[in-house]
Amino acid sequence: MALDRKRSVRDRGSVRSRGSSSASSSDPREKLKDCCRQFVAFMFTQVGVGALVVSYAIMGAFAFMAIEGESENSDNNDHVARLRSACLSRLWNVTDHLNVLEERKWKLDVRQVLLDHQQAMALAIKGGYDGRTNQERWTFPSALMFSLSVFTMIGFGHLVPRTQWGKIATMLYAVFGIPVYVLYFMNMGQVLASCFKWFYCKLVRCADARKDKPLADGDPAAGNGNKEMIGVVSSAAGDELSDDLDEESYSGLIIVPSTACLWVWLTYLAVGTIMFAEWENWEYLDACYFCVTSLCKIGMGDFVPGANIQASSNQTKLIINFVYLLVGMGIIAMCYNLMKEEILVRLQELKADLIERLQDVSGRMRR
Amino acid sequence: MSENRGHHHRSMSMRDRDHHHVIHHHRDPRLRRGYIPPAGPDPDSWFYKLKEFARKLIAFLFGHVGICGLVVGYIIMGAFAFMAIESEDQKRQYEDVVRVREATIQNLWNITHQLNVLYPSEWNESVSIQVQLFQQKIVQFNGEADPGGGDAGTTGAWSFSASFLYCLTVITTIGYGNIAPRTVMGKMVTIVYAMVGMPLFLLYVSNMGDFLATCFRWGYVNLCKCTCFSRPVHHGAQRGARRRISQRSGPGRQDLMQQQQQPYDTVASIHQRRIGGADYDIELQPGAPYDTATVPITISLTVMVSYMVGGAVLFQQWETDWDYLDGSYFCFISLSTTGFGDLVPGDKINSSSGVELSLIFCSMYLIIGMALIAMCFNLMQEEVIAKVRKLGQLLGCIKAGEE
Repeated sequence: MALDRKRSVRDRGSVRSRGSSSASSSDPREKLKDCCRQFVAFMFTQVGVGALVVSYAIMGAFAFMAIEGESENSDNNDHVARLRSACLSRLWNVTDHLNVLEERKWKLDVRQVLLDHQQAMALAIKGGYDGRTNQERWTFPSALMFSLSVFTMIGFGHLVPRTQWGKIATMLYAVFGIPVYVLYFMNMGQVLASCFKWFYCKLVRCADARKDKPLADGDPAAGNGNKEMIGVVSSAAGDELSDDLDEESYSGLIIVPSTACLWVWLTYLAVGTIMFAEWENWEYLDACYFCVTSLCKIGMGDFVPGANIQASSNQTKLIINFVYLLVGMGIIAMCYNLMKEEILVRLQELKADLIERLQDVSGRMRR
Repeated sequence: MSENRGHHHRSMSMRDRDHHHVIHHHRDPRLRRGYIPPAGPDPDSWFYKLKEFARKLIAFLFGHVGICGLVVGYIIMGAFAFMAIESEDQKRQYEDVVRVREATIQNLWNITHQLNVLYPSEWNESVSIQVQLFQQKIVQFNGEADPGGGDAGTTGAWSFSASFLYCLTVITTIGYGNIAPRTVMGKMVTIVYAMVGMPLFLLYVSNMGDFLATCFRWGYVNLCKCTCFSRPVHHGAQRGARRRISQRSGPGRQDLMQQQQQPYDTVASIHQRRIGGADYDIELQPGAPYDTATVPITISLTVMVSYMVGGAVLFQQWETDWDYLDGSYFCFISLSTTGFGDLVPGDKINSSSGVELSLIFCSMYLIIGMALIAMCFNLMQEEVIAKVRKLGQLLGCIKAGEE
């Protein structure tokens, strides 16, 4: 079958498994065992890493809820309450002292009092006051978003630890979480990239079969091996190979253009924009701005779904945001994986080109 | 070089000859296929050597300093753009705040005026409701405090250095968010600016990281040789052998790519092909003369940690109400590109001169810090990959001989 022949040709030709599995690929029982082992390894690595990431986020959410949510409703709220009563007593003093209520003077004094109160409030807001208690702020979905923003390095900042232990815990959480996330990123990238290549391959073959284009299927082993092994490559490698391969095997070569990755990413972005604009009643531009800044891991934090002060009941939206971001990171990893080869090859070509040109110039200058 | 070819030709092994032939192929244009020798000066003369040196120097400068200059120029350009875009809206925002305040004052006056006899408790109740509403509005505005009595004469939040820091946080993906664009134009410009700036910054970071890593390795090797404390671990020989075997086949372009390019080559993925029956790996590495030692992981980690601690101490001195924990928290969160934005230098100071300086200093700290972290990751790469591979083999996830 094509699959076995592909694997055997790849095993014979590839540098990696040189000499180790070429003997075992001939026996069908060995092939089955090999297949099973590969499947188990796949499950263990890909699904295992995904589960690791999700459980790490959940564990972090609980930890931060315990550290920050249970901490006493900090001095900030008391401070603001004190500010308000001070403001009130000043207003009363102003009103009381004037025996005759003259509007302009009274308003002047009151304006000054309010201005002072406003500036004191601004400082308190920068210190973290937003009218809620710690329990209200650190609900489970919010803590989950916070953990996600720490180890994906997005860092929204709409919810931050204020206690000393919270800050130390954040740093430790990041130190252990970032490698886990990088592992997830690489894994997801590879899995999605191979899925995408397979899907694209099937699509092109379907289209070709319908167009009745002759595929070089009945080729001898070497030609078929070439086509099968390098069946789906990125476009740069495809260009290079097409110079060297003969016409027959080239017609069967399927090349994934890098623009396909960009289209996938733009589609995902558009889906997210529409989703968030509808649910959160944002403008489309705001939703787009949020999607771009979150998926690029910038994470401004001025727009966070479900984190409004008023809409404290929309907690499920935070979970959907969580899933959207995780999958989005995976898609970026896939694009990076698919485009990496092309970018590097083109960079090397550029450098080689530049060097040749410089040598030509220097050669011509010496004449 | 010519006498090498003439006299030692027979005594050299096949491998070495190919190796030298390939090196000549790059350096000496006379050996390129189809080359017509010109009637000109001797290529070994001092003039030629000088030109070679000048060319390499220019390439080097253009490579490293050029990229730094490009990144800084891009940030400056973005800072001016955002200053222009957002200052107008800032004035409008201040006007909104002033309007809310005036409305509150009017309400308070109405309350006070209507009560003929001033009973404290009644008056306090009504006034307190008004003040509460006023407070909520301030929170909604996110604490935007206008500087004076409604006359927004100064530039406000989007000064030049604040915009500079903002642009820096966008392209490094830190993204503090303590100031964020509020206009439609600002948001669109942010999206485009990020798309173009992030690859540029990645290029800068990888370039500087490789360059610094090479320098560091060279310094470390020399230090080891001088002090003879420990013999540096040699990974170079093994990889060099693989490269020679792989150079035997394959024409033209691949040879150029396999050359000993200088410090600014990055490690490319193993790109495997099968052309004309011969298969080989193309593996590019940092400049080989410096590659014969591996810096241990502890040293790289020490460099990173000491940079963070140094920054923590500096910021704690600079900012009035930060303690050492706040300083190190800020450095860690910024350098890991998380960037919450709760602690930003100069955020709580109202005077303008102190703010400008601390923001510029913070930007410089971040730019240098990113390059240092890239250097440390570059240095740690080999050892970490080897250790992870060993761990994987132990766990049985990866079959021996594969990957």
